[in-house]
Amino acid sequence: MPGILMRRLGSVALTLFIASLVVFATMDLLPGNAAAILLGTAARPDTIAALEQQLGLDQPAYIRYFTWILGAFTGDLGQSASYGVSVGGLIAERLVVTLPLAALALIIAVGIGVPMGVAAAARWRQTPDRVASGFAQVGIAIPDFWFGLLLILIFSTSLQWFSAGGFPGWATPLDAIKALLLPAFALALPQAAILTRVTRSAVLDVLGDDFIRTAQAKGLSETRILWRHAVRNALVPIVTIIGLQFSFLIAGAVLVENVFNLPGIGRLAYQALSQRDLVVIRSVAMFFAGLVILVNFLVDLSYLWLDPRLRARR
Amino acid sequence: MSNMRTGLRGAVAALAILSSVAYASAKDTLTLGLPIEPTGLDPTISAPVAIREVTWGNIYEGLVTLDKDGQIKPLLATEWTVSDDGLTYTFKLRPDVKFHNGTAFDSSIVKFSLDRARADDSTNAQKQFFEPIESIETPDPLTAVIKLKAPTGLFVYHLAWGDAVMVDPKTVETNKTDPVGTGPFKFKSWQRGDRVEVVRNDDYWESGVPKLSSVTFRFIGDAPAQAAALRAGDVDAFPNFTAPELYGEFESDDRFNVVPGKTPRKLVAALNNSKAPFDNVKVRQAMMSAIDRQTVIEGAYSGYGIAIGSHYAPTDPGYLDLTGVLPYDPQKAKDLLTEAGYPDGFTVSMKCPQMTYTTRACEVMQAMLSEIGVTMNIEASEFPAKWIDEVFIKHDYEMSIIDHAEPMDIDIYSRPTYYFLYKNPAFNELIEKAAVNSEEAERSKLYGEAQKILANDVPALYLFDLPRLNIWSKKLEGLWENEPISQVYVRDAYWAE
Repeated sequence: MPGILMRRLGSVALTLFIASLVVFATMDLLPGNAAAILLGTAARPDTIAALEQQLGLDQPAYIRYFTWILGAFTGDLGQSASYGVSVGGLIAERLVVTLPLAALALIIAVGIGVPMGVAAAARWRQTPDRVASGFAQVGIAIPDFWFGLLLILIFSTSLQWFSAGGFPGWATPLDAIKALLLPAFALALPQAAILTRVTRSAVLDVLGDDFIRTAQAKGLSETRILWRHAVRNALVPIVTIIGLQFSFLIAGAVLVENVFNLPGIGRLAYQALSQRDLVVIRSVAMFFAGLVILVNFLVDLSYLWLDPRLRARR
Repeated sequence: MSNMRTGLRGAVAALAILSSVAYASAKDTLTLGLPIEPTGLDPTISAPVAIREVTWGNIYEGLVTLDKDGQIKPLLATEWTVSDDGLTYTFKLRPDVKFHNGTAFDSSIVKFSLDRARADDSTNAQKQFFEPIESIETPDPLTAVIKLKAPTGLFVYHLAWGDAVMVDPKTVETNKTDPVGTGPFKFKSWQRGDRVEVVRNDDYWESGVPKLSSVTFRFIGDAPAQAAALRAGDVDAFPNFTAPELYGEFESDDRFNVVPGKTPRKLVAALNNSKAPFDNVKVRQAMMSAIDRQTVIEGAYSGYGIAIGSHYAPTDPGYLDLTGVLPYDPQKAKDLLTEAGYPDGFTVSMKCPQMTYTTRACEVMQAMLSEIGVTMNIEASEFPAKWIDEVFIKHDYEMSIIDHAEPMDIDIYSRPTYYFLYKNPAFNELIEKAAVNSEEAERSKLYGEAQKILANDVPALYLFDLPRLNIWSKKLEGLWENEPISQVYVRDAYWAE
């Protein structure tokens, strides 16, 4: 077991190292630099050079790379060129919006998608299946940001139950959750649709297996067969998808964040990229890479828990 | 238990009534939406307009300011005199002015602020404004004497810009995140990505100002989100609404004041004057004559905006309407192209930034230019990063389009390395003469001549002056409709009863 773990950690470190090189190089190759952007269209070359020096942009690439990596180990990711505050603080500020939003969206997606998929499989080619398949079709077809606009139109502009966007901060927790509710639903709809499909086909697969017939022959109740035997055995693909969805909800929510004007990490990444605030975008990109690796790792671990056969093999 | 509940309910109801009464009689807070979040809150170290919209005139103040008609008005200087040779400016300073942190404002602050802006390592985006300064003397705390190297006509005008605000030496390192000025509002908080809050400066030098107790600037980039925030009542005002196609819907909504204003933002299609075919004035004139400005305004900005014929905004002093010099005339355009040796037209690439209005303007121009045989290929150029690098700094372009936001910036055509790469000694001479002339009337005349040269020579295609699409609550008073310089001034805003 320790051997496996060490190998595992080694490959994680290697992946992160390669990712850091790729991220640094691609960001450095982008045209444009933060100093010229900050000084605008009236500035003269000598002023831009002065700011480049101040921001450390005039140093050679390898020095900037190692400053960044060494800084990361000591917890200092540098200062944002445009905001003038520490990058770590900037990312943390955004995570208090993005993590709860992603978690809420995932809860909603799982809450809708899994029961619907199971119902569809249990009543294959009957009304629940048709309803679920219709929902999945529509849900996958509707882009999340467009659904968000629709929610704003109904619940904010017309009914005025919710504010149309923005985030009041966690000082007022109820308001904060209220502000995240509509965007969470908008994000959750397509994910719920995907989960419905995956759950349906995974459970259907298992329902066709021999041991289900054995269970039926044993006289077990239908509910028990469905939840204890079929769903339990269909969980591996479902959990895999949920893991992917969580990474997506954190890194890929930028359009929904824009529609609801939420200060999430997706918008930070977009803003930093357009301002060529490389110090920020590098660290955000590495955060995303680390997150995907971590979530994959957790999903792998969950397989061990879900499927005793895997445990026995180790 | 039930008694207690009834009692509680009564108390809650009473509170609700009380608070709603208080709310109705004296609303003194304002939530104002802006399309772009500032990058830092110090206008003396970077250029973005968003920094000025939040801070300038609200948190920071300069020696002078511009009023809503673009005229220079005293602010931290109460009066000033200019010596006959135009070289010595003597400013009398306003007494009893304090920064938000308690530092007294006096002539040493003036010297520090302006010296910092013109220093070798200065990162002031308008450093050239301060370079005419030879020395700054401070004979007494309320007098600052500025000596110039050469007479500079627009010197005081430039002191009214956000780049020239007065700063406390003790806070210059932290102003970017924690701004300290002398203005009517003090910085309270910045929730990055969402809002900046400022509160009334109770020690402001003018009594009774400001009327509002706090202002929250909320940053909403997405145009439908701006509209939704206004309709849902999340923001009281949006002075720079960015979706002209949605603007009409607000005109019929009686909750809002909807009056388009003027700005110094000139939408200009740049031509690379150093390369064929645009080194030929006839080709440039043909391009201009091929374009119906009104159609561009309709297509790019839903009909809001004022056509311009030169690089000069209707808000700038001395503006001339020169749209008649090269009006829309496709036949004349074709004749000019033939005279220039391009009877069958040519193909040109247009580096077009991704903003909605620039993209639309490019598409409209593409259609109109095809009428005279010019094939314009549109190439997306990410603004600001890629555009500044490729077009502005490296001059790697044939045609491009962008709005120039600085007022009174016609002199950029006299800079030899500015990205238009326009060279005209007669024009440069006019600009030099205007620059050293301290008489406003004479200066306006010279700038008028300069405008006429550009209108004839068209080193760039002059399209239109971007409007300021104001939307705010009917009960809100005191906001400016026009902006003579990019700024959102909340000092005089208040709620009418």
